Amino acid sequence: MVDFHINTRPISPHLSVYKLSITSGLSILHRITGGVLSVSILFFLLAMKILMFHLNSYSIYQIFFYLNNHCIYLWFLVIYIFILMFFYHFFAGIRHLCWDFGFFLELKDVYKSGYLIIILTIAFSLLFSIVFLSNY
Amino acid sequence: MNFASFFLYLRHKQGSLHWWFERIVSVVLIPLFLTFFIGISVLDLSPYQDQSFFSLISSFFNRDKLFLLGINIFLFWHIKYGMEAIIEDYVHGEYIKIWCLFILRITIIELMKFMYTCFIII
Repeated sequence: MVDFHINTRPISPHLSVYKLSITSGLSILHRITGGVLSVSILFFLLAMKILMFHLNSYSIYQIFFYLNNHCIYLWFLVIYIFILMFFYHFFAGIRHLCWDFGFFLELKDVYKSGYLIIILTIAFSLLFSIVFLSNY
Repeated sequence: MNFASFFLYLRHKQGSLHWWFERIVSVVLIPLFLTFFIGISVLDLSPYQDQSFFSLISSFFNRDKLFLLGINIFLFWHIKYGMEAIIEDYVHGEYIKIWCLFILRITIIELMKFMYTCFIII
């Protein structure tokens, strides 16, 4: 018995033929960074809630003690990527809010603000990770 | 003006209030996170303090209680609006979409309660 609700017709190509440009790349990066940041925060807190860890439980201490002493560069990398994503989402969010209230809507201004937020994210994340990681 | 007319007003304005609350929550979150990062880098990363994972995490949670409450509420509302937009756009089955939105709402409420009971009123 054929199920007529299943759609077996092919769809037209969309992602394989689209040429990614800087405007669409920054826009999808805003959504990707937002999703990854929120999923990471939610998983961290869900793990603490469900597995009933608290800040004094021995197993978290053991994991991060070995991480600190043996592969600290992994920890640095994770922190640096998290900080990059956070600052990119921050500045792209401010750009979205400016667009919502009517400022910088011309194409030239979009390109200029796009370059500005890239420069600002790299600068702020370098600044913050140098301040944060130099104390180790 | 009574409750009935107020609720009728809310029902008429439901869509635009959703749009406005997304923006208001984002705008409130900007100075909160700026003070957060400036507070971490200026106050908690001095060379005279213990540098470990626990000092980092505890510097997140050893703030003013009102500030933490603000972060708790507004951050989780922002996460909720964002994840709802992503699920609405990319999940195409009818029932699985409703189920994902329901699970997201439950998760956010449980995590807000967890943050409040474990870190804010202690």
